[in-house]
Amino acid sequence: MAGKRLEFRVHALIARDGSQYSALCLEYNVATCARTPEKALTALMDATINYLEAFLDTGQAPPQRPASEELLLEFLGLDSGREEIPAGQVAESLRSVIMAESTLTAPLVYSAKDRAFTARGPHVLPRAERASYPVLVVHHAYS
Amino acid sequence: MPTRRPRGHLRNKSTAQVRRLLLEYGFHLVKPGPLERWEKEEAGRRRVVIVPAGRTAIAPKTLASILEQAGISKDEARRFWAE
Repeated sequence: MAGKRLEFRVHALIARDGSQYSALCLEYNVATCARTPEKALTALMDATINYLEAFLDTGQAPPQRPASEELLLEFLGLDSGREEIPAGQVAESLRSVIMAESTLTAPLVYSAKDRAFTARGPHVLPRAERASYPVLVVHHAYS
Repeated sequence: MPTRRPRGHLRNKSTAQVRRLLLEYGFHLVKPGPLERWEKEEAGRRRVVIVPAGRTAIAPKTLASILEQAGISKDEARRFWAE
């Protein structure tokens, strides 16, 4: 069973936020911020791993907690108080953010006591493997 | 769980301010480091919040997510934003 592992496919939204960039994990609602989009994304992967470890270290499956609609609108810079948002404004917002996809893995370890395989702490895939999940830059027109 | 910040009340919040808020809400620090993990048991479930450590200014969108992760009510979030 060596090499068996759990995989978590995660997606991130990175948006300019004042003088920084904020990154949000859509599946687990974890967020971080940094001076550059790349640093924000790297920190977000570490933060998401931290969240997953909270459950995997105790043998539990990490519950998904998707980011709320209101939070997504916040990241897109759209006003959630409005009943209708013009399509053009939504398109403009989508062009101003970066979307990324990554895969985190957790190696499965056999527990003789439980007679079962359990996951212990996820990690980011090695660089070579990660290359198959590139950061998708939708638009990068920051002023 | 709405935590949207009210327009016109933008204030930068530091890690220290977020820590005080989480302690007030019964969270405890489980894992220190550059990304702190705070947890609390709530109705038989574990609530987990991840906070960037040592920041003098946490970006507003990141803070909105942190408040949502912590399950802080809209009114409390508004009060915190306006402080």
